[in-house]
Amino acid sequence: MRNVAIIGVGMTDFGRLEDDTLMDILSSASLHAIDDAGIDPKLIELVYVANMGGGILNHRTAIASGLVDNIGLIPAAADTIENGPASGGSAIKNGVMAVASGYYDFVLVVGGEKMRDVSGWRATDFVATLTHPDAEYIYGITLPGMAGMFANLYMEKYGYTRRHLAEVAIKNHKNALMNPYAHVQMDIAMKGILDSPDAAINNSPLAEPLHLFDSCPVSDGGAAIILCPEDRVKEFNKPVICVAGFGQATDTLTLAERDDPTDLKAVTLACEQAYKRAGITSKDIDFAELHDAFTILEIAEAEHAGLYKKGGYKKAIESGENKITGSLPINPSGGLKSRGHPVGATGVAQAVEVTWQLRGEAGERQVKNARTALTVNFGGFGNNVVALVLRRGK
Amino acid sequence: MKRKNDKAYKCKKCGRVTYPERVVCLKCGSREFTVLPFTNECTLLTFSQIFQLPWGINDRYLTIGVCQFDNGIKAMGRITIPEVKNGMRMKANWKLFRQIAGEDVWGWVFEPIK
Ligand SMILES: [Zn+2]
Repeated sequence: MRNVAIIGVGMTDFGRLEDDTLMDILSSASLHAIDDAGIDPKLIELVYVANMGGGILNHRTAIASGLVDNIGLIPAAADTIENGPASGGSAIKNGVMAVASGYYDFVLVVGGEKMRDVSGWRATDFVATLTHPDAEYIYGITLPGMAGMFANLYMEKYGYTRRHLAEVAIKNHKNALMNPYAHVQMDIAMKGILDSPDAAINNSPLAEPLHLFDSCPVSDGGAAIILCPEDRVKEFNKPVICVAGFGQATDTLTLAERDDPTDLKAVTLACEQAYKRAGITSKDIDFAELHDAFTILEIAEAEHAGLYKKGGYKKAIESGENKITGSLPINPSGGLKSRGHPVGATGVAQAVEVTWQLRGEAGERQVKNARTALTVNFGGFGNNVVALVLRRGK
Repeated sequence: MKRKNDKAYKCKKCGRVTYPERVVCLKCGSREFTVLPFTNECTLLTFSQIFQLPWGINDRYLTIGVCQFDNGIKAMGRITIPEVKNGMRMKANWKLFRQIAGEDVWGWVFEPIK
């Protein structure tokens, strides 16, 4: 098995990209990564495209075939990977295995989604199709609804309040103000979303106990990386950023069937596998990009990834150690909450952010002295989770 | 369309309760199940009052929750009123509650026991 490195990264703006099709978005992100690596595109032998909604939202399937045609990568092998909101992480995992195994040297992994082609009403329905069709979807459940039911239990069990959730939102909004790619560029304060009569209007209920500012937006956007064997990085003028480990685990499709619905077992297992493959423990993580589609998920994932004990993230929120300047920054990009969540792109965008951070290219939001980082890409409602450990150097 | 939500099952080998239907027991790998009837009452485990509902639903909000039946089956369903609490005793009603693309859809509607 060979060590696998990232030599190129790129992304589009996240947000409402009115003039761009899904193919425009995927192509633009891919070319940014190719240009960043400075690679001759002829060297790219395999392309993985992460996308969840092409068929449903954009009436377009076999997207990988369209992409290699559009960006001149024929005859490279090309596959589309659909794994719900964890599609991006899954595509990276497959790219890593393709390079590690020795089958391929240069692999493009790109994720993208064009969700704003349809109304919010339709987009909500699209995302809900990942739930169980006969035991969940029929009731009109939404992903915010799943998160609301989870938050209801998690907050009760571990003593979290809406103030803790709001603190997560405020932090991630502030981080996104320093991220030119972020969808939501809005400074928010406790007064506006919790502590004033206006807050009831500004921050209306979405799925109790979660309110509007506990949720990510519906976004368009794309992100891409280029993988190669670590021993070929020297052919490019780039620092060595390695995918030191990955993990992936699944759990029951329905939330109801879990023995303890507050236990995100797949997050724990995926992270443990990733740490083990990287030869580290959770204590070695310098910062993390977590899948905060809802504020409660940043909290629960930080705890299930072993960065904190259960209920222990309160300490990070209260002390501010999860801020960019803190001892364990979480979601310096602004997270899904504010960078945005074009579902197929998210897992790849996490790896792009971490690469920029590890290279020291993150500008105003640069995390100091970071060498090892974790990403968690959370699919379904925790039923398919991919974790990555990325590291500067070997 | 056949919706596989009207029956719960118990594994013949290890006794694990399965709902909705699956073909292999998650605990022991057995493929043999017996039907486990639902009880009339259950306990509310968690819920959410949900706004911004999906396409096809015109309600301003719905309250949806997960209940545990007295014989261990756990199921999601709609709740008749939002003023409920975790741990509340509920009556479980199997009802025709909506249509999807012209098709009648049956499922669980839970109401608090006064
Ligand atoms: Zn069994």
